[in-house]
Amino acid sequence: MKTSYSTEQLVDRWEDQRDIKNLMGIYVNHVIMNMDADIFENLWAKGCDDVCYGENEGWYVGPNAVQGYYNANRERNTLVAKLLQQKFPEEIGDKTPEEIFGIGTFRVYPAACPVIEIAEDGETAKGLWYCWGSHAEVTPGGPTSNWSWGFFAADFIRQGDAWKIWHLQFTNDVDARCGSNWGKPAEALPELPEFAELKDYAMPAYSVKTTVREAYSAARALTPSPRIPEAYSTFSETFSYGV
Amino acid sequence: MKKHLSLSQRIHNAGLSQEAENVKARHQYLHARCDGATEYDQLWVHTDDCGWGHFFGCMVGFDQVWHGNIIDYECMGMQRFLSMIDIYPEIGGKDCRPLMECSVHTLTCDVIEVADDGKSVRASFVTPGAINSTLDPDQEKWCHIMWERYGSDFVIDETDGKLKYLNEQVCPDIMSDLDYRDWANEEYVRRTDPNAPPSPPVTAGMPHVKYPGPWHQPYSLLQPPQHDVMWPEPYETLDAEHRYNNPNIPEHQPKK
Amino acid sequence: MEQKKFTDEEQIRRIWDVEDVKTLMHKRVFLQTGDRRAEELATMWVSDPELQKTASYGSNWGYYVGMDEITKYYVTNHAAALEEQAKANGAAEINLGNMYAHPLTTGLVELALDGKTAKGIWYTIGNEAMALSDGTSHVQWMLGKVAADFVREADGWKIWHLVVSIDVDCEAGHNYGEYPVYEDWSANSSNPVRKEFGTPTVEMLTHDVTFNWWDDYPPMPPKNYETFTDEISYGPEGYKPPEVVGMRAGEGRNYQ
Repeated sequence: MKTSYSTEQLVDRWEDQRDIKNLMGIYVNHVIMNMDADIFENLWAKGCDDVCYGENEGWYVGPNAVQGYYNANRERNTLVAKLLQQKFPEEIGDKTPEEIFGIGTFRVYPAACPVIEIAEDGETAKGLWYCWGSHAEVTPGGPTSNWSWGFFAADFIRQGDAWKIWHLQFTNDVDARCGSNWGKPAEALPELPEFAELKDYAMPAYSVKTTVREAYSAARALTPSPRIPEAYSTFSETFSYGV
Repeated sequence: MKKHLSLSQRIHNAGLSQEAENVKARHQYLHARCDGATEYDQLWVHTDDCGWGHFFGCMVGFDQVWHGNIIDYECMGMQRFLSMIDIYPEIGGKDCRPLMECSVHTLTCDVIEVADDGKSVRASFVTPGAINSTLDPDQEKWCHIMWERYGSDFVIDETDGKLKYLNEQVCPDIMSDLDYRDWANEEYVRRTDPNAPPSPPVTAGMPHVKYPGPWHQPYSLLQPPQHDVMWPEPYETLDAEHRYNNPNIPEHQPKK
Repeated sequence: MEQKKFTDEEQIRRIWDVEDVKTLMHKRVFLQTGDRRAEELATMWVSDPELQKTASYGSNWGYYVGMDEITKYYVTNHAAALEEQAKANGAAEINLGNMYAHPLTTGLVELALDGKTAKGIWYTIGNEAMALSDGTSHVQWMLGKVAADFVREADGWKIWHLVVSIDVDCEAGHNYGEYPVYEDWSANSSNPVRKEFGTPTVEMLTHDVTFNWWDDYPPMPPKNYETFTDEISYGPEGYKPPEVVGMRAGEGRNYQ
């Protein structure tokens, strides 16, 4: 902590870091409750053409692409609900699409051990979190659950009185079936005809296709976490978690 | 930023926010030793309107909260102790409570809001946890993975000025075993194979509750998302609208 | 929240002290992902020569005491094991195929009233992957408490005593229940976590997982402690066995 901050600045900065932790906690809760379609509107910066969302294999860049990514998650969940309804007509055959939206998909990606740096100018911030998570998805092989080990790394920007997500990476080292050993070759679930339609469902193409982070394998060189945030005065003087 | 408050109030509230993290963490470490007595004696307000909710419903009032979390829980511990003592004589003389299980509900994703009036704190958490025990009557050690969400309200206890629990809403989401089960696939098999074994119970027991559940259901394939432990929003003062557990519970309405 | 004995400015600085201690430990997690052990010791641990003499790194089986001993275990021996692994695997570089993940949760940090030291405890659900010569890797779940004493030095908070107390270790994809109830915790053990810890400066069983958290080690930091004393240290001088142990794990089978 810089020692020259005034008492009021220290309080401002403490509230800022608390708000950023809250923001990421709320992000994780949106994902848990399959509120993907609300994420961009509720939590991301507006009016920034360089907003971006990164995964292991690429980036969605710009508001339309980032919103498109979240919308695609919602669309996939809609399809999953439809297929499950077809499979289980006795249990949920009489439900409306709204009533069954979100079934089958459960993604819990807890953000832990935050390292947060607020710029000295108070206009931007950076954060890095570890994420040990688990998620249930319906795949062409049917419902399955995975362990996930990875990272959230984000830049934030102050807009009005609130902090918003500016650049976000959510990358995994491990995304392996629960009960499996991710140090050994994975066995794929055999495909099931009732979920075959999911094979044709593709997420939008990345704006920038590149290896953001190579997933773990026994052949991977030791790969450290995304860079740890460092104290900085203004954003132009630090690195970006964006593309 | 809370610029509408005085600097002194903001510092007080920052301290409360951090204290809420510590109270919550102390709860976890005590719970993992099954030491409910210390937890509820020291970390909870002993009032008629405190509440503790889970899948099975909501306990209301300190007497019922104590009964469910200490009496019922310690009975389970003693029963396990009695069923193990002949198998594992080395447990003789040891506190039977922590021998029951080590139940660690780790804390992540905290969303914490302090009331503008500086008298209460509301917080939500996502808790990936592990429950394990080495000694067991079945003579096999075990480790379950349990994912939950918490909604917690804390208030300053007027008797000693300390921040303490008023409410806890526990929402179990996933239960599985370390590390040989694909819990979502098992659920599918259970639903499609008539010979598949039934699902395990959500909780080990069904304690007395004033307002029976089921409230929050654990994951199942056909369960839509449940929005019953939403994160707290900024608020001015704790009231029926701003507290966890069911806001329709009469005991949770503001006192006239 | 402290008793009101600090000015507003002192109070907000104390709140930041707690935050800085947490951040230090979180940064350590990310350094661990890169296996940056020497850097960790150089930048995150005490640099005062007097404090370095009493610095310690503990686990269930004792403590390495003094920075020289800690360095030998944590850096030198580890590097030698990695060289050996790379040679056995025919790997072009060390750590090829390895992964270290020990995220921390459930932080509970207490700052001494004199502001010179702090104590904290966390829980980790982690894993390590170690490459094997057959092109696969051994993946180990590792669950346990991490506790530490911190000292304020001129350039910030530093780790003085650290305890990594393992509760559960289990190969990924294996049923934890298949492991023996009693494990060999001697220096000759084949358990990979025990083997890795080697022969510490002070050898003693500080945490016996047989009895879950009955031994309560490492304990939670005391609330509002005035100043650091050996009594409350997470170093070997602060270790207190349970007052009554009775029988150890596996004893008591000779009764007829």
